[in-house]
Amino acid sequence: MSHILKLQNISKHFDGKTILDNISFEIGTGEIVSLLGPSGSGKTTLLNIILGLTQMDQGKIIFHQSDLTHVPMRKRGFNIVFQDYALFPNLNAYDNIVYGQRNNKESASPQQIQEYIEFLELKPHLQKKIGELSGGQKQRVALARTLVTNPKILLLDEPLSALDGVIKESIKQRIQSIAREFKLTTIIVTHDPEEALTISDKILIINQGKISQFGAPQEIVHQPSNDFVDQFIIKQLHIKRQNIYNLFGEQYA
Amino acid sequence: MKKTLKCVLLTLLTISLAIAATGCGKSEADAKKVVIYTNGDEEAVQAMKTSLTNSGFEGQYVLHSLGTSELGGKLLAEGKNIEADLITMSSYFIESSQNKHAMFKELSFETDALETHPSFYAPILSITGTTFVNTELLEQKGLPRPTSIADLTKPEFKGLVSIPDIMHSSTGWLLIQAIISEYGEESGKAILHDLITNAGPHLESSGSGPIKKIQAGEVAAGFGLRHQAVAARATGIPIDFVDPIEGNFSLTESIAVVNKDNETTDLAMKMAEAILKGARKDLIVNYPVALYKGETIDQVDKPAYPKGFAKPLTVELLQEHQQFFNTSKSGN
Amino acid sequence: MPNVKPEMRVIFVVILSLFAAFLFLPLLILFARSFEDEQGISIANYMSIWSDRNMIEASFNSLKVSAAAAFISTILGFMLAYAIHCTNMYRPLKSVLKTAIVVPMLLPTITYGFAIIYSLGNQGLLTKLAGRSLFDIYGFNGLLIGYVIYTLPSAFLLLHNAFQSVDKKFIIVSKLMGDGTLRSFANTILRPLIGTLGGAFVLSFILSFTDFGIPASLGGAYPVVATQLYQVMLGSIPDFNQGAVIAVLMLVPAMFGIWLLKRLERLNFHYDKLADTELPRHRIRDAAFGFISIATVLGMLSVFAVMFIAPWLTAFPYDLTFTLKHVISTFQSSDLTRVYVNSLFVALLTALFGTLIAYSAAILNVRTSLMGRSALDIVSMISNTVPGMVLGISYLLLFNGSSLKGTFAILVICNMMHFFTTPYLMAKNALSRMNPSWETTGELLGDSWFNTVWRVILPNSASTVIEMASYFFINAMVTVSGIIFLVSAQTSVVASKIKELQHFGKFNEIFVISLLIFFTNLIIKLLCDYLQKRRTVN
Repeated sequence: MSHILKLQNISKHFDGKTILDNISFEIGTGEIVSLLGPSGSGKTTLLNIILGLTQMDQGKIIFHQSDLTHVPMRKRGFNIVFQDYALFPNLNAYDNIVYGQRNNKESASPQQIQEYIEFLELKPHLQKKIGELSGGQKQRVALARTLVTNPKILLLDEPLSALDGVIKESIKQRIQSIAREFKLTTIIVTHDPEEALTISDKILIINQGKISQFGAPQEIVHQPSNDFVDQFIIKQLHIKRQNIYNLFGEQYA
Repeated sequence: MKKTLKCVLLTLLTISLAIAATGCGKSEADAKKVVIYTNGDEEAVQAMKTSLTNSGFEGQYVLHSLGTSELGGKLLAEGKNIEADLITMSSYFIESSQNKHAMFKELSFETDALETHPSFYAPILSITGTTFVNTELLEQKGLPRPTSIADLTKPEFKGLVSIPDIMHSSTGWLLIQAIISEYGEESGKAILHDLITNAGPHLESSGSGPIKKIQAGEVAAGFGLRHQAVAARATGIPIDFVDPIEGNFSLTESIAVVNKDNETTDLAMKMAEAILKGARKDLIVNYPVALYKGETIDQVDKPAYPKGFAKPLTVELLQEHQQFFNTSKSGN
Repeated sequence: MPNVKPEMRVIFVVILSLFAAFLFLPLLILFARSFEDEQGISIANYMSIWSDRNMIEASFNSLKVSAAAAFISTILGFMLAYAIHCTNMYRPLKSVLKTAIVVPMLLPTITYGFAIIYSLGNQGLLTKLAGRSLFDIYGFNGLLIGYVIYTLPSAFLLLHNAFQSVDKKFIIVSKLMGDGTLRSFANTILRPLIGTLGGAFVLSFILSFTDFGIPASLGGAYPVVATQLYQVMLGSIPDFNQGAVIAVLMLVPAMFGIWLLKRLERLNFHYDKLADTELPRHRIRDAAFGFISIATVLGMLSVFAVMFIAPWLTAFPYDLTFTLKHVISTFQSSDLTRVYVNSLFVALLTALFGTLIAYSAAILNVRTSLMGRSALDIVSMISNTVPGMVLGISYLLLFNGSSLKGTFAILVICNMMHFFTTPYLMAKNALSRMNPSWETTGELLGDSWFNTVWRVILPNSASTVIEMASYFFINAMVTVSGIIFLVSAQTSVVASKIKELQHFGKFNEIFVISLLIFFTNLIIKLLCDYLQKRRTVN
């Protein structure tokens, strides 16, 4: 698998505090990568740096052999779904979805747009106001709006945190199938280990601005590289599992 | 909904631009309009308007009324930079501002005035001061009919007298001239002090203030313009005038053209002539003092005790008298 | 927040330059002139002011009557707000009260004075109804009534908003804890509102202290600072340096007041969560407050009643037969229609450009990461501090020789600067509550910043924009103090025309054109309310 996005020695300081410290990693085409860490670890800052919204202090971003470090956000061709979706409440669902269409020659064709709408099962909701949509529907509208711009990399900021239970699982699957179906490299920020493990091809664990571990989910579960990964990820999952087992008694342990 | 907003915004923009366009268009036209500043009363303004209309100047001028003190202040402060092209104003103010700024153009036409006047202005009317009473209120309050200004300083008139304020109104000056002429500065001060005390809140900044207060029944006696009292009595309301024994003093108001050296000035000059020729017949009805040869007035309009102040009237004298007024006001 | 774009910088620079040229520079000139005399720079002007008995008396009068008015307005405003929020008064009555109390805001203050004369004067409408003269209206009493009517709506609105953020659950909690009526009142109402009460007092004080319209119509023998200022600037012997000094002296209490307001804000409580709570029943309380509120509002409105009656009568108060002649003659005078069109023109342009500037400034401040953007808050504070008369005089001093003199532009600019703060704060409040990622999202979807503002930000704050425009419009229609020094014969507006008509004592015309202003503002207000409501329903 070729590496399309390379991040080299990225550092970011703010008010004398180190937010990101010398981060380097590479992502392959069509991969789903999670940036996982506790709040304040710097994962959202890293996402914003990739997006081009936040400027880094040091380091380089290489995309397909070209240096993006000084390329402004708009010209990078990446797109994001924000945690709160940032849908435009003055427009209905459909107008939100096609918002970017008129600005961009590279954006999706009408057929493609129909394809996204059908794929995300948004057809019955197109004429609804944003305020009338459920959380999951909003998430799907936001996804569709982003996909219409044909982003080179899809960035998702905590895409599941505002959703509950069953909807969470269905959106999760949908994100996975989008990445597979449209061969879309996807970077997801999350603070939930379970989410990261079940959705991603690779996980980048960040703690206090540094990479704790970068690897496939299996690697992380079987070979946690340090105490933090062990504590933050593995222990948390153990406790959850234990809690459930306790409900049903010893024999399931 | 977005559309509604944009429609509203666009409509607003269009309306504003349309008004702006007409406004600009208008102000362009206005630039050629003659701006007239006047301290004249309603009747004087009406007479001037009528004469301008009759001479075909309608729509070619903008007339702006100001108090004497406001207009005087503007003349002294701004000189030729004043917005006005044509003014009508108390003569002494015109003379003082001419001395200070040399701002008026020589009149291009001849007049046959009874008294001589400088070539840069011509008198259009003369106002005369008198005292007047609300007869109904006098009766109601059991007050004697006053015969002099001094009568109004009696304690029974407390709160029932209205006088114009010399600080704002030239009518106020007529009152002060009468007091100073008759009683001199020393005893005059005491009389004025008592008069101001009696007037209390009815010290009016407009010369027409006292007659309005009389008409409204707010006060029983007052000092103001004689012609207004005559006119008020004629309408049948319980008002009568009493020429005070201290004398009926007069001031002339004149017309002058601001020398701006442009077409508007020329037009203003024509208007000045038109006003002088056309408005006198109306003005003499309201301000019955003969100023030009051939003018006659009714007996009722002849004040009983016409007098003139000993010194020539100037802004400096006015300031002296204002000072006198202020010290009388505060002195005990 | 989006990255800083060049177009943001351009707008920022334009706005700051506007304020530099039309707020800072004029004020600077004002200060300079106040220290200037024939000999050069000195404090002689300041010294000589205090040797003028009139001026000392006027300052003292201003302080006295403004403080008294502020005190009364605050108490009445509080009682009205309390009646609306903390009693079980009949609901429709509450909304009627809420609407009726802001009616005076639609009229120029100069009208108040004339309304008072013809209501409470010796021959006034209310005096006739009462059968005798109630009290002397020229001087302290008249000004006090005028100022109270003028400031009560503002004081009420301030307290009304504060009451909305008071958690009434605490009233119940306090009762359950066994607090007595007084203690409960002190803890759950007075304490949370103490900052706002102080604020209402200070605001009412500043408004009264700096108002020109009411003393211009009623003052007469009772000098106050505003009328002294007018006299010195436009009197028979104008002294601009002396005027500059008085303007500075008028600015000082205003500055102190604004500082005090900032301090008082810190006393305000912030409750975490608000819940609508049923209030305990209390018939006597409801009846008492209902009575007080109705009496207050009726009392206030009754003063204006004469304005609606007198113009239709032949010669109020003597000849009470119905006639249309005053109204017809007023409307037939081409002068008046010209002045009315001028007013509409100025108000519309003020609404348009004022909203544009205030909205842009608010966007730059709360929705960009522009360096130095907090300068806009300072600008807003200064604009809020400067009384209209002071601004007008500063313009007179600075622009008298320039081509701006006597133009509509200077009136519009003066209004924009004078009324900037409130709409700016409205916009800031609305914009800061909107999703911070919209601009970034728009950009990622290919929009320019302008595009996103036009397509997303603006439509989502439409209701606020309408409110801002309506604020600018109504205030531009009624302001006298800001523009009295700036109007010329060709640019005279309705509010300043009243001053001119006062010279002739033409009350009927004054009332007719006051009604014209009133109904124009009423239509604008109702239209804006309707548009706003439509937006919130959708």
